[in-house]
This record gives sequence, C-alpha cells and structure tokens, in this order.
Amino acid sequence: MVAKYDATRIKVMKGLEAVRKRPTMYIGGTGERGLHHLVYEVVDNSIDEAMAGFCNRIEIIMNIDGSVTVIDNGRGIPVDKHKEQKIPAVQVVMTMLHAGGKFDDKSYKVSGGLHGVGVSVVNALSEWLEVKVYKNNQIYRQYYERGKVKSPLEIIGKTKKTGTEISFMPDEEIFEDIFFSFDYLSVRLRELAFLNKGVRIILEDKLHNDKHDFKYDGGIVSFVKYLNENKRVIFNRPVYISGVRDHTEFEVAIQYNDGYQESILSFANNINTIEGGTHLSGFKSALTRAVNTYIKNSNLAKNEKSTPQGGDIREGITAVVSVKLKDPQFEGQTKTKLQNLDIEGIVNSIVYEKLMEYFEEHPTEAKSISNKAILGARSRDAARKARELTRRKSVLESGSLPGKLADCSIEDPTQTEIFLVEGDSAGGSAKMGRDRTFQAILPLWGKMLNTEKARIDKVLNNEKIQPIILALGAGIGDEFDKSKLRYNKVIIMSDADVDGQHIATLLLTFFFRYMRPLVEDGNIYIARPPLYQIRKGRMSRYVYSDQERDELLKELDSTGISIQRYKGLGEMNSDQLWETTLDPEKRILTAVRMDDAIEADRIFTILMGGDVEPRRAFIEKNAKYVEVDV
Amino acid sequence: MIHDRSRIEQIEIDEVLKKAYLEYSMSVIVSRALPDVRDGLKPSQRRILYAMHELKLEPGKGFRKCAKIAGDTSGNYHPHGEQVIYPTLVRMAQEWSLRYLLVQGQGNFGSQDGDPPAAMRYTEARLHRAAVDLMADLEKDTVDFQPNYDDTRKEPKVFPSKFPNLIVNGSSGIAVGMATNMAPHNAAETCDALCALIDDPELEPLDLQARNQRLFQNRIRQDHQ
Repeated sequence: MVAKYDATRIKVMKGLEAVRKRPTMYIGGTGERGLHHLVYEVVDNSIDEAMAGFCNRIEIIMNIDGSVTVIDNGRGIPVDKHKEQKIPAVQVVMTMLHAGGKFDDKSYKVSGGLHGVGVSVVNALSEWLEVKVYKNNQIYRQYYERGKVKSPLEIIGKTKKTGTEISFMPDEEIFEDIFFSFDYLSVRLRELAFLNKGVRIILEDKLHNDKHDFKYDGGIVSFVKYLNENKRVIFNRPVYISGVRDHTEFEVAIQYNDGYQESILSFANNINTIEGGTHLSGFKSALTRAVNTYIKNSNLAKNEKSTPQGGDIREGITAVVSVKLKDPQFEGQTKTKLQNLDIEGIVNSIVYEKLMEYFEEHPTEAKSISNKAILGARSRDAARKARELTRRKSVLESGSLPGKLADCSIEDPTQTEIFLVEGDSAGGSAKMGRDRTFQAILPLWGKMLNTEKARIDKVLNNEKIQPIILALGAGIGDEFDKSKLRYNKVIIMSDADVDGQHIATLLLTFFFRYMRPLVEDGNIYIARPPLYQIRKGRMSRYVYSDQERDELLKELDSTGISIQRYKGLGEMNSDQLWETTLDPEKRILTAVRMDDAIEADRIFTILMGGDVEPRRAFIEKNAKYVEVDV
Repeated sequence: MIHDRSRIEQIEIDEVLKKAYLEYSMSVIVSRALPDVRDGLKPSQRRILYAMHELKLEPGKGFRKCAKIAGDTSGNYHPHGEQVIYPTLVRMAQEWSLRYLLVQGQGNFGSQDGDPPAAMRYTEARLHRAAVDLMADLEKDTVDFQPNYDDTRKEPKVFPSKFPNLIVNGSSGIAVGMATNMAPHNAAETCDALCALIDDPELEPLDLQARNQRLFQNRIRQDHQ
C-alpha cells in the first residue's frame, strides 16, 4: 500500500542533518575527491584570512590516527556571543549552514568560500571535530561529534598567539574510504602557496614521516618558473602583469619555453578553473591582439602568408592567470568555469595595455615571442597540409583502417578493446589467441618516434604512429574527439624486457601529449604478461612477479622444478597468451591514471625531453632503486 | 555482453613512466651501449667473441660461416636478433673501425666508402690474435662467470684481458643520459706507459708523454745506426 501523500510527508531537514543526508550536494561526492575537499574547505578559511592580510602560516598535519589538523595564525574565529543566536560565534560558524563572515565585504573583501557552507559541512561529515581558538590571550576549545555540540566552549589555557586550530576525523559512515593521500593534498596546497605569495603552507604526514614546506615569495611568477623548471625557456624572467579595477584584482605571469605545448592555468579566487571562463578568454584575446599589433608595428612578418592566430601565439607558453573578485559566478556542477561577464573586458584591457608597455620596454623578449608565433603560424600551415594528406591517403587505403589492424567484430565502442602489441612475432600469436568478438590487435614494429621532441606535422607523418591514430579513429591533438573513439580500452602489450619497457614509455608519451583525454579518463591500460612459468611434474603455474615466484617456490619443495622466464610475448603459444594475458576472466591489467597532471608533465619533460642534463641527474639519483636486467 | 573480471591494478602515469624508463635506461647504460672498463668490450661484442671461442675458431685454424657464429651467439648468450649481431661481428673485422682487429674476416666485409658487407651466409670469420690475448687464461678461473639468459650455460662477466683493450682500441657509444667516446692508442706505447706507471705510480699524463717522445726518438736513432 502506498502511504498517503499529504502535508505530514513533507519534511524540512534542520541544520546539518541535510548535509549528512546529501553530502554530494555540498562537497561534490563521497569518494576520494569529496574526502579531500574537507581539508580544502578548512584550509580555504585560513587562506581567506591570509588574503585579508592577517595570516602568513598555515600548517596541515595528517595525524597518525587518520585525522587531520589545520592550524593557522590568523585572527581566530570570533568567540563572543552572537547577538541573534545567543551562542558563541564560533559555534554558529561550526554548526549552522550559511553562516560566516563573507557575505558582506566588511571583514573579507574576496574569498574562495562561496556559499558560507564551509566549515560547518566539514563538522557535519566528521566523526568528531575539535576546534581551538587562540584569541584575547586565551585558548578556547569546543568538541563536536557528527556536527552536534558535545562540550560547551571552554577556556583551557592562556596564550600569546592568535589563530585557529581545527582537528577532525572524517566519518566512515559517509565516505567510501577515509584515508587521506599526501600527494593528492600536496597538489592543491602547492597551488595555494603559489597563488598567495608569502604565505607559508606546511603539510606534514606523521604516519609516513613526509613533509612539504611551501612558501613562494614570487607568487605566480615562481609558479610559472616551477612549471618550466626542466624546460628550456626563451627568456629567463617571466612577464608579470597585475592590475586592480572595479574591486577586481588580476595578475598573470607568462613565460615561453622552446616546446610546442600550451599550458595555461587559470584561477578565480584560488579555485582552479579547469574549464577556463571569462578571465581566461579575456587574457587569451588580449595576448593575441597585443602580439599581432607588435608584429605589425615592427614589420616582422612582411613576407609571411598567414598571420599568427591565437594557437600559434600560445605555442610553448606557460602562464598562470589569477583573478580575485567579488561574487564569482561559476558554471556547471564542478564549478570549474568562471562566468562573470564583466571580467572578460576588465582582464582584456589590463593585459593589452600592460603587455604593449612591456613589449616597448623589452624589445628582445618581444621579438622572441613574435618570432615564435610566426614560426608557429608557418608550421600550422605545413601541418594542415600534412593532415589533409593523411586524410586523403587514409580514405584511399582500405576504408581508412590500417592494414595491419586485426579488428574485432562488434562495433559498440564501449565494449571493445585494442591491444597495441610489440613486434610482428607477438602480433601473430595475439591475433590467433584473442577473442575476436571484442578484442582488436594492432602490431607495432620497432621503436616509434619520441613524440616529446617532435612537432605535430612530424608526428602526423610518422609511419609508425599513423596506424595508431587511424585505428583509434578519434583524431589527434586539438582535434581529438573522444566520442569517435573506436575502443573503450587501449591496452599496451609489450615484452617483459627492457626494450618492451622503452616502447611502453614511448607510447605513453604519445598518448599523454597527443591524446590527453585518454589518459585523463583512464582509458589506457598496460597488459601484464606472466614473468615465469613454473613447472613441477604435471603442475604448471604462471607467475606474474618475482615476489609471487618466491612465495610459490617456498610452498613447493625444490626437487624437480623447472622455471621458464618469459622475455618476449612471442615465446608463448597463442593459447598460452590467451590464458595468461588476454582472457578477461583471468588476466591482470594495470590501469594508468593521472591525479597530478603537473607532476606528470614534469616527469615527461625530464625523461623524454630534449635536455640531457636533468635526465642524467634523474637517472643518477634513482639508479640505486633499479635491479638491472642483463 | 562481455564479462570483464580482470584484476585491475591502479598506477599513476608518472610512476609507470619513471619505473619503465629507469629500468630501460639503466639496462642500456650498464649492459648495452657502454664498454666495460676492464676489457673495453660491450656485452654484445664479448658474447660474440666468447661464442667464437667455444667454436674453437682460433687463428691458424679454419674459418666458419658468420651465420653459424651469429646463430650460436644469439641462441646461447645474446637473446636478440641475428640481424643486430652480424653488424657487430663485422665491425670487429674492419680495419678502419678497429685499430687492432679482434676478428679476422674472409670475404666481403664492406669498405670505408660505406659499402655493405656480404650477407652472413657468404662471409666467414675466425678470431684474431688480439682476441686470443683478451681471452687468454679464461679457463684458469681468472674471472667470474654468470648464468646466461635462460640459465642453461655460463658466460664470463668480463675477459681476463692481457692488454688494456679499452685504451688501445677505444670505444664509442650512446646510452641514455650519458655517452662515451674514446680514442684508440698505439698498443706498444700504451704498454710502455703502463710499465712506467707500475714503476712510478705518481707519473702525470705529461710525464708519460715526454717519456714516450724520448723512447720514440731513441728508436729512430737506433734505426739509423
């Protein structure tokens, strides 16, 4: 029977109950992202203090019991009685939604917190939370469990410090997993330290004894230098532009390296706007306009056929754009695109004006930027021709699929997978061993081009890369369109020897640089062929790691055991290959994921880039961790 | 519908890259592109010479087909294709590639102009005197041995090397993050210099050079008398 639907059924949830009922609405999920969001939410409050100029040190401690403590040296949350609520202000902040000092601009001008839900949400979603306020020469303390007050605000001692200290333990009932990741936290905290110059942010992991100490007096200029650390830059000192207009603070730092990738990070009130928005588009159009005006005025491109477009001018750029504004409006569920329309005009005029000034004063830098843009335009022309050529070619060739591809029979791209196999000898047995309904095989012969060091027209014309692009069917670079992807899983299957490892790194570099969405969305996998076959009498077992081998050998007594080490995929019969590596019922796959794109970019630049020195330093530093396979 | 029950392990892209790249680069540095300082040989060269030694291809005895040598090397010690072993073998028999040849070739081994050698089914080879000196006393427990790639045989980690092959023949190679390039030297002078160094370990390169010059002049004078 269905209950009657009348007024008694309409429920109004009070206070923080709603947060516990629908956590996703407030923190964006109950997975890894939501969990770490709790820390950011608390840290954001401290950052707001820093932006207002009252705090210069924030400490985040991951305690041994799994809880997190955030300490700042700001003014401390007010502890006097709130006039309307008749309870201490700190309790209001901790237990009521939409309470805070950021709804008018009296105590804070700008802030990252938007809705004032902030720290009360953290309180609601924590098994316990303890707040200590250092203020008026006293230490105040209050304790909560799952958002409910468990002890009144009490004075527990004297102090000369000021600040706030919040410790909390995320609630296991809410989160899938309550373990914080040091690396995950570092990414955002490093960003915050860059964006708020002079603020010292310390992250400490007590359990693993790890510590990061971030403090950057150069602010976003240091950020740009950090991003370009291992790249060859075109001029040493980044261009720095800042300006204030109509209560909006804007700053940008720009530097060029000799690569071809565009890397612009944009922030609005310290929030990383991954999808950009009005501040980014304002910056881009001003940059294009300024460079083109300079090129025209100084007559640098009189013999060129095409004028540089935005993309050409941003080839090799590394820039950080940061805007701090009142009442930011974000678009979409994840709030990663800034929408305030007036910002575009403000940013555009500041950047254009200041850039033109900069170009006047620094002719060498201005020339090198312009020349790079002109070269970029030239190569774009060449690349377009090459692309047209491949398109025309691929239409001519066997329905645009590469000849070596052994395709699968079903066409639903959500169910299919493609194996990129090293060498023809392994390609053959993979072809025979696979389940042809959903597994496609593309044999690759020899070592492919290192795409880190090549420009896109070279990549497109490379005979070893073309088959991959054609087989995946989703284009490349800016034109990559994931909806056209023909396979859900892209699996790299190379030999278990050192050359196989090298081929895997070359392929990963290609995907990272030219098919980034595949890496971001986790479509890339690495197959794990067995390392050994261990036989004793009639028994035979496949073993996938040295550790597993040692364990198995301990179990068996050592007489009459034969161990075969697999070096190449071609050593296995096709049925063995199916059984060990291809069969979705039994195989092991390594899923490649990317949490920290900046770190990944840094590593790719060091290991695959044109500069030998950092690579050599890296090898020398890490050589001791490697067991050499002779 | 396909039931995918693969065991999936997660890994960060920078971690895979670091691990794979380190293993590759260390292997290239330690056991591919750079010579061992003790016998001046890269592993592929050492394996070819050792395989020839096992085939008893001493100077003065008969030649064997290069295909046989390359095949034995590949099957016994060097798990890579014969088409990469043969050029290594050929180089050790080219007068313009090595100052003191390690392999004596019979047939067309190419020319300085860059003409390719004949295919390995035509050419023949045996060890040269210098290679015999490199491997002399190998049987007398002078150097360590290690198991080969499939654990069925043993191969020497390094040759006993009666003469300093690295200095005499030089070497060049490009590894990852580092490379080597060493000039060859006159064997007699090198040995003289080494003897001098044994007598007086404090000698500096310039002292050795001066000494060498004196010895050279003396020899010319003796020739005139």
